[in-house]
Amino acid sequence: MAEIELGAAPNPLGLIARAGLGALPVPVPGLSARRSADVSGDVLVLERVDTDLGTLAAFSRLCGYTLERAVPLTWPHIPAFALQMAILTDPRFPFPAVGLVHISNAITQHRPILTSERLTLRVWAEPIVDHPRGRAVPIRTEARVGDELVWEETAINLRIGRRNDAATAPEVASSEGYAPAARWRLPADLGRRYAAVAGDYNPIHLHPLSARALGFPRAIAHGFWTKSRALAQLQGRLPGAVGVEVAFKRPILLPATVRYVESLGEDAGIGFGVRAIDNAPHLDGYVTY
Amino acid sequence: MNSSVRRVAILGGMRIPFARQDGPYAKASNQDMLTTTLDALVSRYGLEGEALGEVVGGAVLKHSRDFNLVRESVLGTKLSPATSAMDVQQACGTGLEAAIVVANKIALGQIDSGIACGVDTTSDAPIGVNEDLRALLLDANRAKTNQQRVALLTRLRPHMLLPEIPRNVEPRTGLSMGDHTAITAREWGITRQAQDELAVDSHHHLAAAYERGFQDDLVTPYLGLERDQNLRPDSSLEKLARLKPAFGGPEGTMTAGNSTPLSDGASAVLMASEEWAAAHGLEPLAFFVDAQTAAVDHVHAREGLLLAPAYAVPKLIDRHGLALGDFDQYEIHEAFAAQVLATLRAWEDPVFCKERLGRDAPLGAIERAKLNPNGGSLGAGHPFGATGGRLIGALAKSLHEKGAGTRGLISVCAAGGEGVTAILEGA
Repeated sequence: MAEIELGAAPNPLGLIARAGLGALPVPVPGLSARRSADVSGDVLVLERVDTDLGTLAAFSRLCGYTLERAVPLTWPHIPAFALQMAILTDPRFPFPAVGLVHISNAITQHRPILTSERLTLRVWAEPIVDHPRGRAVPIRTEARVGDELVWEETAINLRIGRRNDAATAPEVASSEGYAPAARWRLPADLGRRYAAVAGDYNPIHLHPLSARALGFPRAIAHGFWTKSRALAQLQGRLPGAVGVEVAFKRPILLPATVRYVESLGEDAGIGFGVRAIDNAPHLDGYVTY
Repeated sequence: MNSSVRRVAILGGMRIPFARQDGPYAKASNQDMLTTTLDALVSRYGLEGEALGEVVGGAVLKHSRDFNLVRESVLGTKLSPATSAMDVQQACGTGLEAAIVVANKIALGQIDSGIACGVDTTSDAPIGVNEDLRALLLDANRAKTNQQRVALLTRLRPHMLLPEIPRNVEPRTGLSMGDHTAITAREWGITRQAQDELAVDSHHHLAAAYERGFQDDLVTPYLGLERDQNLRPDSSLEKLARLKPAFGGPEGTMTAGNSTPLSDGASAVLMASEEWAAAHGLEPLAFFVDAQTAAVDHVHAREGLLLAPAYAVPKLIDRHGLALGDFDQYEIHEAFAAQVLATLRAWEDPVFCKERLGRDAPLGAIERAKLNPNGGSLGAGHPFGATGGRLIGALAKSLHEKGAGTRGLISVCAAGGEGVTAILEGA
């Protein structure tokens, strides 16, 4: 496992282009289609990451977070996203990035991170595992202040394929039956707005036409936006050390009106979810502390 | 019904450093800044999960979506959601007026604890739709047929696309606050030299307050700012003398150096009954003794727009049998150095005191060393709604240092020819 220090964050737009080319059925010179099964290779490291207050403000506004002294719980994902894309679009990565489905995302914050703190970000892929619906690639991200681990994330990406009935996958409790706490009206251009802030220009989020080309009837909301929007509902109610796990269910087709649901009953944590008006699940989540 | 009046304790103040317009807080909303400030106060005084009696506060420049600004901010803090909140607004008097509301409720036993707060952003300012377009859109909303709607379209004109930006102008005179104060400065013969001296003092006193650690538990860093952005510890008369007049024409005495800049920021003050404070293990810094507002006719009687405190203070001190000189500290909000100096001059002037205040003798002079000893708005900046909280928090702490029974006077001038004043007593 080699640590590769990057001088600057890669340009996510270039990586998206690389992802697009990698998805082509014909090999592109210089972007060899030779894909090995081994992704548990490199750790991409980006040091001295200062919080860009303009981007933070735009992200906060878009997700409904208040701009406070500490960054929102889901924020470090944003500066780390380009590194995650660099791993997913690496020619040695076994699957094309286009077609991978972000199925779950777990974040642990060990303490609040102040906007003034400088982060070191480390991103790597863990070994591929069987999943009931195909093969799953966990992408791990760590944020440190100096040597102190302050935040970590595991994003599970699914390559849908042969069913593995023997395989198991971690589950998040269903939000069915939770009490409706809020109604969100999501505009048609939400995906474009989020892409402009977070750098995730995956075409399925941008426009009905680009989404249709990839098999969706309309553009779909970013899963990570949905998770962030849900946690913005809980901002101020969570302690500084907290874990939150979500499972992404059905995509939200934009524009949409959806319900945020919540279960505050238990001592150990808070269950929450995002569901369609007809109660179809979009996201199930659980906060522990 | 409670017939007795209780003493109201001030337990502590908190604010974020004030930023200049379009500075580090350019992208922060009023709600962002207020929530941050309230949470810093909550964390400083261990109020997590606490249901306070009420949080009262406001902003002067407010977007229509911020109709419930304080309540929405409270809901974003670690205070119990069972803490009620309300918005008030009295231009630059907003923060102090909020404290008067909280103090009165505590005094009457309606609540036991509360927070007075205020915030303003001149960067993330509310921009409105052009007034003509607004009228057109409302007519379109009222139209019943498509024919009527098409007819309305023909009224659309390019100028309607120009937005309405809030301006620092008195609605009834069309003059800016600076223009008004330039007239006051001329009438009272306030010199450029005297104004610049007051400005230099304001910067130096504030810098010294930071240096000696006085601000450590009054200010919490935010978005990269640890001290007020406007503060210039190396401010000097020579530097200020080089500035060109900003108001009052080429012969004017008011400059960008002796006038407060447009700023962004927020402040909050924790207040309670003595019983509540004791039950929570918190020591009162000062008591909120009394308050008085006044207003002048700046439109027709040609009175100084910002001189209403000159009328409020005599009423306030008379009620307590005090003389103007009986205070250990004076916190006079520095909108402009000229307005502070004209107010002091008015209290010393036998003619003003006789003819306007109806007094046989002038109120007299105050000891200048007791005026804004920890800096004022000229140094710190002046986010309109946040200044009252800054003054109360700093004065309460200062009086506590000076000792029990010491007295402090707060005076804030406000747009519309209004003034808000208050007396605090050290605990």
